[in-house]
Amino acid sequence: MNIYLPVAAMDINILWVACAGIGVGFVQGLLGSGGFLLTPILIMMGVNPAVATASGINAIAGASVSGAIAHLRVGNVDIGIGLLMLVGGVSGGALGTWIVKLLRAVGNLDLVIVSCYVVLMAVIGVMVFIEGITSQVRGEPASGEPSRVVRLLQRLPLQMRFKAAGVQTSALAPFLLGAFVGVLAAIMGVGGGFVLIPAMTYLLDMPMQVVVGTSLFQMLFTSSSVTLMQAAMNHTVDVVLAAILLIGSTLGAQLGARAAQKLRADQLKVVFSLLVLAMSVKMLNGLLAAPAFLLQELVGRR
Amino acid sequence: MKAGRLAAVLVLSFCHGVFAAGAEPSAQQVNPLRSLEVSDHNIRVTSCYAGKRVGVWGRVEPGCAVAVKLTSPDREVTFSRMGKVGPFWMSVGRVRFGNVPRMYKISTSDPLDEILSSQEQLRYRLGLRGLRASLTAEGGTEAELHLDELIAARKAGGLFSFREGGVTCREGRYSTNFFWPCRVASGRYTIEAFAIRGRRVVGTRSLSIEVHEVGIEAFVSNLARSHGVLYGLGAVGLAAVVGLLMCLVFDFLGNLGAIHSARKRNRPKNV
Repeated sequence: MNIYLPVAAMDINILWVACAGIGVGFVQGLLGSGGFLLTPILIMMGVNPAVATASGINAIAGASVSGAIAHLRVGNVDIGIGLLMLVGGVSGGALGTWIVKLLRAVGNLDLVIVSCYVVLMAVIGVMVFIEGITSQVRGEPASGEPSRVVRLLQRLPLQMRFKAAGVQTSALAPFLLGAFVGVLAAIMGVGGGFVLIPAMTYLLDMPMQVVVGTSLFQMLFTSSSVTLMQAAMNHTVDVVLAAILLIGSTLGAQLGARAAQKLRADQLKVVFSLLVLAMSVKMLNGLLAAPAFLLQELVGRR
Repeated sequence: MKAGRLAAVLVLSFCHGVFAAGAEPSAQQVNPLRSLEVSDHNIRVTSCYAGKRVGVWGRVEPGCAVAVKLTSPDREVTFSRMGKVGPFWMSVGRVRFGNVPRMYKISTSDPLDEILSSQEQLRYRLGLRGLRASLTAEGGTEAELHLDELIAARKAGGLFSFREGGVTCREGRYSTNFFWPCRVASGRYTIEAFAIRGRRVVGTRSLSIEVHEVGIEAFVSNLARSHGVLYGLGAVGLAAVVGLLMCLVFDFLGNLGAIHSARKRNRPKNV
């Protein structure tokens, strides 16, 4: 069952895309992370990396709407931190979109996207693997004194008190964090939860509920603005692809959340980490192999 | 005004006829390539579009060999040149080519070198030799080498093809077909058929085929191309609506499930 993607200008099997969305959503619902797998899977399916990242971020924008609204209603969003991150996220997103435009004109965008994913998936794979192994042994993660980074953040200028989160830190911290995630969103098409959540938990020392709500809030606005900028500057957002992915991943997330009540997540984490590592190796292999042709048509020049 | 234009057209077509006849002395009375037909004059790119095969056929004077060529307008294209930097392959420079058609496909009834002289191949831009000679590359001899690479890349992408024996010719009828791959821009394509005898082209006919996106596909791709901001807003809005709808659906299903299980729990007590 093939469908023509108007922006990617290719035909793709709609069932495979839906399956990819469901699979990624399932993992996300089950383990709480995994959205970052969407773009590499699309790239492996033959979608142009620039289109894969921009359409992926479009799907993420849609997926975070309902969660962000729900958390806003309950009051789980620290508006101060959220807004600072948002400003950072939009600036970072603009920077990232501009970098994408430059790299595309030179012809090295694919290389950069794929290398970023090789590194990201290797790091996440190893971390989740260790987490899966040790939590089976220990049970509780260790927490202790505020780390060196936390103390450094408290010495930065523009110290502010954030009520909902109940923390005091420099306004620069959420801004820079948001900016970093914005760049990632533009170049890699990821929502950035895997950076935001640990950073807010361990570096800003925020309570978990507020971390989740605030990160969804930031993700909604950053991914929406990045989608807009990619569409305006690079013409790489394929809305048909994004819609299929969105429907698939929402469905998958529901199934995953249900399965999570019955399955043991720790053991699955080990399996998941091995899968992520295997994908990383496969993509690395693709980078090292000689391309089929020594000429590649440049598409980003108009 | 109108009359003037009409006169100009008449003069032009007269000249065209004179020169065409002058170029092909053996085709004074009847064009040996008697007819040219295609199965589709319009290719509509819809949401189910997965490329399209178009049949081409016609009548030709018996004893003639036939070549059929499909081309799109020439343009200048820029490619990045891949090189190895450390362990990685990346873009290390650019090569610019001129006179490159987006698509070039040719089918012939016999091996081209056996039926047509090389001058004629160059003149009518037929076959690998004819195409290659018409392409230009910027940057001297090294760039010339890239021409082969360009043709190979386009061949692999399904945009160029050279099929000797791809035309069947029997009892004054010829037929072949061409495949438009998915990654082809919309626009006008030309199909030209050549009747060949005595190592020379003795008659030609041509017609054009239009490829265009229709319906939602046309709307989406036009919007994406020429109104990026509007398209982006639409994309975000659509994603938000789909996301919310999915959420509502699952909430509804979840509630149904809850009601259902609550009833189940209650029923045995009541009975």
